[in-house]
Amino acid sequence: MAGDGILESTIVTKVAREEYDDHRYRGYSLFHELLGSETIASLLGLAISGRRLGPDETKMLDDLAVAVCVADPHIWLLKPTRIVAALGNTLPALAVGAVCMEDATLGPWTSVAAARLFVELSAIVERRRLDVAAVDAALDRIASNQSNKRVLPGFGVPLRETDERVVALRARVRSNGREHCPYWKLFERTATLLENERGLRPNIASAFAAVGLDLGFDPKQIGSLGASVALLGCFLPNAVEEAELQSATLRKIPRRFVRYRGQPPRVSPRHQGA
Amino acid sequence: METSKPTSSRRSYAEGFECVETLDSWVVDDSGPPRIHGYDVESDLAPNYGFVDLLLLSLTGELPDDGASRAVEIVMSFLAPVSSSDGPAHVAVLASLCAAPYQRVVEAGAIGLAEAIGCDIDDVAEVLRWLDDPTTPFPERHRVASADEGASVQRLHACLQAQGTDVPVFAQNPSRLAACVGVLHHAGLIRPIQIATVFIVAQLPAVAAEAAAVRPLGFRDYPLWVPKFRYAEEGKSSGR
Repeated sequence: MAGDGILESTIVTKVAREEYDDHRYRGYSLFHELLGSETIASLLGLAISGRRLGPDETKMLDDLAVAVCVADPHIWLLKPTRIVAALGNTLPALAVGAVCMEDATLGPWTSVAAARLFVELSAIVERRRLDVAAVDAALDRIASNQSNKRVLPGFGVPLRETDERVVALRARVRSNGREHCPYWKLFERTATLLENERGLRPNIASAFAAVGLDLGFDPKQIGSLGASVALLGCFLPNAVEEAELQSATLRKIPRRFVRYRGQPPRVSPRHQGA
Repeated sequence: METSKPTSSRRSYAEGFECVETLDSWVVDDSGPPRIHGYDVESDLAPNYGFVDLLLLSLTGELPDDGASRAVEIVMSFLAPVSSSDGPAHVAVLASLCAAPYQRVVEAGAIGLAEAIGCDIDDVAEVLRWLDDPTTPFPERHRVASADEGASVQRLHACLQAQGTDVPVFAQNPSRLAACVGVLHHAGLIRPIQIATVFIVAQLPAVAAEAAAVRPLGFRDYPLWVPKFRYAEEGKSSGR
């Protein structure tokens, strides 16, 4: 019967349901429980994890979202958004930004690997002391899921001495009274160890991951969280602006800035024989 | 924090919406050996027809004659070159540079392509209207604009004539883009979505290939300052 077929294909969702006078969202009444009390950041948290954050957690999430708003259009990961937006539309430009982020070795998604590292490291240091060998053991456990297997996710700062976002976030973690949360403490201990032993300083991926884990997100959710706040704070302003500007030099790089490095001119066998 | 429980009186406003219980598929029947518009792909089409024949069958509903198929194939060759200086390939190059996995690189390039192609097809909307009614005047701004472009259009025309195909649009001294669209229209591709699909199939390989040539994380090989952006602050306005 047709009705039985529909039941077989029913998917259980915990996201939402529309109703006549109100809507259900992640188990809550949209208009009577969420409206008036949620911020964009806390709504993101609820959307991704299904868990409603308390006021202190929401404040930390707000700070996390702002701390990563480095939106300079020169940044390699932001430029695809700029290029697509130069064709006139905002949302495809955002879509290309989202697509470029997932599973990339650069950018917000690196916090997923950093979070996995901390989860493994946390389990390891329950049984032994935290040292470089423990960090390497944690890296071995997550390496099969990584494209670049020997890069320590969340550590190493290119082009400058320290990651200024980590400095800023650290201050906010203290200001929010969250410096004693377990993953943040592990992050700080690991950061000190790696700087002393390997000259590696933490980048924003590890700091973001630690805060995210302490807020109760799992590693993959941290990736969605990082991507979402990056889309809002970094990609969106670039998409909006460039959809207005529609710069010709983004649609087509001028000839004088292009260097062809492929095969030299040649003739195909069929053309030779013609 | 306790959640409120839905009462039995609450109902979804879509629950009473009457609609069918099956999703229609108009082109591909995969209930058995796959068929496209009724033709068995594996026993009939694959051994007897080329890929462009399948492309035209999929998009128009009927198998093309040899002339139309070859004409579209020639146009697709003319459309194929997309360099890293073009937006769509540049997007894919950057995705590859940031060490995104191959699926994301292709996705990024495809989004860029669809946007760029959409702009091109929107730009020649007047040409499409003329193609639907050639008794009207051909839009002037879609004629050849340079000697190089004119030479390219002549080469396209010559390729088609060598195959025994002539297409009326060439009599209008059309731009390269208008000429390509004119040939596709003559082959039965008259809707923007059909034309855009042919463009994407023609151009995606070069986009992917440019990206594949990039060394992931090789940032020194990429011109960060092309183009340069200059940050200018507006006067701050705030509710705080």
